[in-house]
Amino acid sequence: MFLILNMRISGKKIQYNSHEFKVIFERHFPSLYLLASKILQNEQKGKDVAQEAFIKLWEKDVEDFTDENSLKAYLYVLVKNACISIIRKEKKITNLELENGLSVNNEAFLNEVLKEETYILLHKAIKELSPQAEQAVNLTLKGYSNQDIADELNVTINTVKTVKRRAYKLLRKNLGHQFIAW
Amino acid sequence: MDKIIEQIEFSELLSGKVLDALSEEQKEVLHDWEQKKNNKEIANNILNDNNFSEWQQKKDKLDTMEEWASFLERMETASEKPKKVFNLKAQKWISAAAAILVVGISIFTLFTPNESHLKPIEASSIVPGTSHAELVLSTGEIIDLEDSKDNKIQEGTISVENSKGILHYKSEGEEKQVEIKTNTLKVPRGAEYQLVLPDGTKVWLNSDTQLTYTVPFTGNVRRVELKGEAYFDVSPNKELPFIVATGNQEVQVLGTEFNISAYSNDNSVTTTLVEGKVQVTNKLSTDKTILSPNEQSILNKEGNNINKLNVDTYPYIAWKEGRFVFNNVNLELFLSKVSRWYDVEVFFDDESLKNLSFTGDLPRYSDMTNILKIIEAEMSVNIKIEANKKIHVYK
Repeated sequence: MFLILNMRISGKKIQYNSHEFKVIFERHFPSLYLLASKILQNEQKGKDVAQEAFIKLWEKDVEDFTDENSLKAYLYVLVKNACISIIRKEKKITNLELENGLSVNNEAFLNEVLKEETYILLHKAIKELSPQAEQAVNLTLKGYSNQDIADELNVTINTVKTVKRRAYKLLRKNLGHQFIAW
Repeated sequence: MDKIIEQIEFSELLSGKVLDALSEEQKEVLHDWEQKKNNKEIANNILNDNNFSEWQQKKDKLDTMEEWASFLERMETASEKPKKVFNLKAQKWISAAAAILVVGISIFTLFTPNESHLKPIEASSIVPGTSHAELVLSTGEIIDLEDSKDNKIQEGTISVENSKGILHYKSEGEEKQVEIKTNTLKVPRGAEYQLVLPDGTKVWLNSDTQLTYTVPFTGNVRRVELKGEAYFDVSPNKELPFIVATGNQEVQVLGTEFNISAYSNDNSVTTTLVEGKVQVTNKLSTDKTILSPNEQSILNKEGNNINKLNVDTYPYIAWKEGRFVFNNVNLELFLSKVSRWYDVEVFFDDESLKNLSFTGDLPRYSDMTNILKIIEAEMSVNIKIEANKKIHVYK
């Protein structure tokens, strides 16, 4: 049996064993896992660290987050601390810093967060659309212009633009209030 | 913390850049950022197709559902530890007090006159269907079947096992059953179920579907009666043809795979052949046609003739693979199919919306709001949800 515990996001109460929390878990687990497994260079350890982060969140019981981004930032901090502690235990910290160029020093960690967050957004934008959307994004990342993409995919430049617009619209829709109005 | 939030916010600019979605102002913010330190290099490293596809491969390997299950398990183990329980006792009281307060507030809001009973998609949740059904035995006894519950049933000399969402009739070899029993498997809206008949034939039953058959099959045919939609994988037996009767249509097969959709509120019966060969007969006009793989017959309930088409079969059988796949179907048909699975009702604000054409490949085992979001974005309609059960589509 579970103890019924909650947290709050924007003042809204959310139970940990609810469907709502499941959605939050599914939304953030992948980035936390991918980041941790990259730092630790081990997928299983990455999963454990991401799991532990959610368990720690739950054990704290009533946490109050102003919005979902602050919750996510909090989870990232938990992941970072867990990674540091594992690396310390394995006494590899100096090697890792020097050899892989990636460490848990703040700068590198923040860059990895930016990477994870950008990729998860792009992934969300294209995953449920036609394969064309994915192709358009991949070719853009290759440095292709919209005209190049149109030529490559044998469609008009307007189709490329529409595909991108749809993907962005879907992304906004999926993220809803999380999206910052710049 | 703030630095991390800043990164989360910048990720929106980077992804917006890829999708050509930045405003002039946003472009400026991003440009300024890129001028600082080695930010340009960082951005280029992120917006790189090789790095992104490497990331996607890793992401695709992750089974988030499995991780969620493991999280639930960890929570459970953790709450069984005495220390934890002790710690939480006081807090539980506080939570309970807070809960009472919350209940008080929600009752208050419930009774406040409120016109906004229509909620946007983001504020709703419509869970997908599950594996459950009712088995009506020859005695009239009704047994509830669930995938979480295992049952062992005896129907005459035939034993029936229900386990993990599959009802399995065990064949008793050549032993003749004296008494013939008629069984019906009923699958309600918002559900699906699988069945293995005594001859080894597998049947996948979609939502709002019922199948009637005798146990065991008798005479020189294997005959079942279908209402709704089912996918059949008929085990071959040249001596005993397998017949699926639906209203005024009969499909006769020897051993093959096909899908039949025969809902009483649809005005036609659609039979789609994946493998083998079947004969479709209109019982009223005795019109007959033979289907080969990738062919489909449509029997209009009012008309007498059977239309035959060449089709890509995947969209018609994708439901059994856990997908909704639609190729140029109108929104009304699409939503009526999906609504059986989510057990919701759909209302169109304007008739013209019904004829919008939809193409897409969507997951079946996820929250319906995910599908509705895509429809909103792709088809430029507005969708509002009433009490998580009624879907309203507006211009």
